[in-house]
Amino acid sequence: MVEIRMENIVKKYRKTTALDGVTLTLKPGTMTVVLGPSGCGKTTLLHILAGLLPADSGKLFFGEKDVTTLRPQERGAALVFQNYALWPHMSVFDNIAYGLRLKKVPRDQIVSRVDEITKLVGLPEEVLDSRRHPTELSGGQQQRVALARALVVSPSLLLMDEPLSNLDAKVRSRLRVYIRDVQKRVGITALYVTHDQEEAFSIADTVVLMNRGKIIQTGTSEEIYDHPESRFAAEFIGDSTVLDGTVSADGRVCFEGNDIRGVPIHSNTTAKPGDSVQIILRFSDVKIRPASFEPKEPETGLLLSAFAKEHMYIGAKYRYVFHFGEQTVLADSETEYRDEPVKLSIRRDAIRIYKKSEAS
Amino acid sequence: MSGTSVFSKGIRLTGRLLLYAAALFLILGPLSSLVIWSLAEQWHWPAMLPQRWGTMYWEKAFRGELMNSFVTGLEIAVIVTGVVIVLAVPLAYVLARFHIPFKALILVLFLFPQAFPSLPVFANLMTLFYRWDIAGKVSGVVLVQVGAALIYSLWTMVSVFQSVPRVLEDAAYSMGASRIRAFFDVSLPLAVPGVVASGILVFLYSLDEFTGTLLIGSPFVKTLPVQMYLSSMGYEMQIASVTSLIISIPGILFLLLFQRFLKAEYLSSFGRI
Repeated sequence: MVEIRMENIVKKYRKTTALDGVTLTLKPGTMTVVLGPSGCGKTTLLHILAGLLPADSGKLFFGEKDVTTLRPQERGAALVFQNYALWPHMSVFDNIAYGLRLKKVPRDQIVSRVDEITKLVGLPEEVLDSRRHPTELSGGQQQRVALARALVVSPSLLLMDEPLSNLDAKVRSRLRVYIRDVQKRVGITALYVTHDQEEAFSIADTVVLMNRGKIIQTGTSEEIYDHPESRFAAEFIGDSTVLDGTVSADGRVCFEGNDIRGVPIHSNTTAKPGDSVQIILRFSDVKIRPASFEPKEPETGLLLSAFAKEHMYIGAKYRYVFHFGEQTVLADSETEYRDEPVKLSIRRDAIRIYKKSEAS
Repeated sequence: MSGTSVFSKGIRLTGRLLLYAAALFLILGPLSSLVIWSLAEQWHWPAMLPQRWGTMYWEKAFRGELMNSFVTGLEIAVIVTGVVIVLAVPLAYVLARFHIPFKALILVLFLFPQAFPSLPVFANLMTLFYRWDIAGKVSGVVLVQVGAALIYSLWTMVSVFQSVPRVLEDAAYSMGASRIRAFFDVSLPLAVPGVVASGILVFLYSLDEFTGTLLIGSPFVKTLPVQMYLSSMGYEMQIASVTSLIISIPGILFLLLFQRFLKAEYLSSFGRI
């Protein structure tokens, strides 16, 4: 397994820049997940790694080999697609064996290797029966076939483009664990693209957060989740709410008449009274307390008085909607509060404040 | 009295039956006269039906020139279909997959032979072919039919290739297949129903082609349509009828096959550039 290096990859389409100087290294044998909203460039990055798209500038290395100008056939990177891309006119066996046939591997070796890989991806043997075609299999099984097809040629890099997005939730959560397991067992370097955060955090060695063609932050799942370093990261990661606030006359940040204490404004710019700020917090950090609640510590963070009325049952929890002026704050609780006053408390390290004009 | 009495229902039913009868008459009427003529051994005006019925003219037709013309027509159709497919399929693939400048113009170019009135076009070609010494020969007829029929295959195949998902070819490339290899392993097998359908279109076109074959092929190359024309010019109505009935058989057979092969999804992007 070799190290995969991308240096300053740029890709422009007619009016937009899909990739704006992306530099990234994939350590051998690791699972790197590229996470980001639609249009952030993650799929473009994957296609450039695969060789299906040429980069406008920048370099690509598989180990010591400069693969920047090599065609996909010559790179040794195998792809798993979102819609499986299995060849419907070929049997499941032929789909998996295709790469080996191209390499002119002898027939008996092909059979044993395909058998081995089929077991590895958790497919039953019957699937290799000569008359079985991909369209007869379920979505989850088809994706396993696609994975088998990619792995059977022992590629240097496994590229997965939102492979689970077409599957239903239960199959998704089962299969992602399986894929991660297979990747670790085979020890293959893998790049996995997704917009699903839970999926990304649960399987990654390294998470790469992208937006608008740039890498915003790289780190482990915990690092990205607990310490987002930019406004975009704070907004995108987790179940964030963005609220508007203002700086009051005595320099404190104020949300709809409630002071937020102990939270500095990001990047330490001097805030003048009357300035607008954006307050970013996660509604999983908004705790609902009875109206009689008094915080133990000296008052830091944000304490709001509210009336619990609107709520929905989302299975094991109630989700409450609170209105402050024109703004909405959501909070979850296992307790049901019906038509009673409550307090909402948010710890200060769960709050991030940015000046409104700051770009993400 | 209630609104829908037996009486008014009866009127509606009769009306519908009359409508069906009229439709059948309009559709089958002309064909029926062909059938009658082909079985008429003696039919003089002003009789409504032939005085003497028989299969004499069917026998005469088969013993005579008809079989030769039929075979010649078949040979030409097979050659034309083969040439058109070999030319059109690769070109269609290139047009479908690559960014070709003036792609729309190229596709419209193939429309030209059908767009202009055939008689003057073929008459001009006749003089040209005489100079090249291919007039009156099968090669000349094949050439003229290929030129006119390419559009059927090309436009269909471009639409068919566009409907083959590109990602299937990408998957083949990432497995190590060259472009050509992926074309034969993935693109072409998935496009086969389209190839067959457009082949049928071209085959039928060639079998029924008349003006070009007449002008370029005469006097040596005779296909069934030409034979039918010559017979009817000579007032041999019975032979002409037999011939036209024989010509219509492949058409009916193939159209039944055709609608089985050509799925809506292949034609959904027909003509879209």
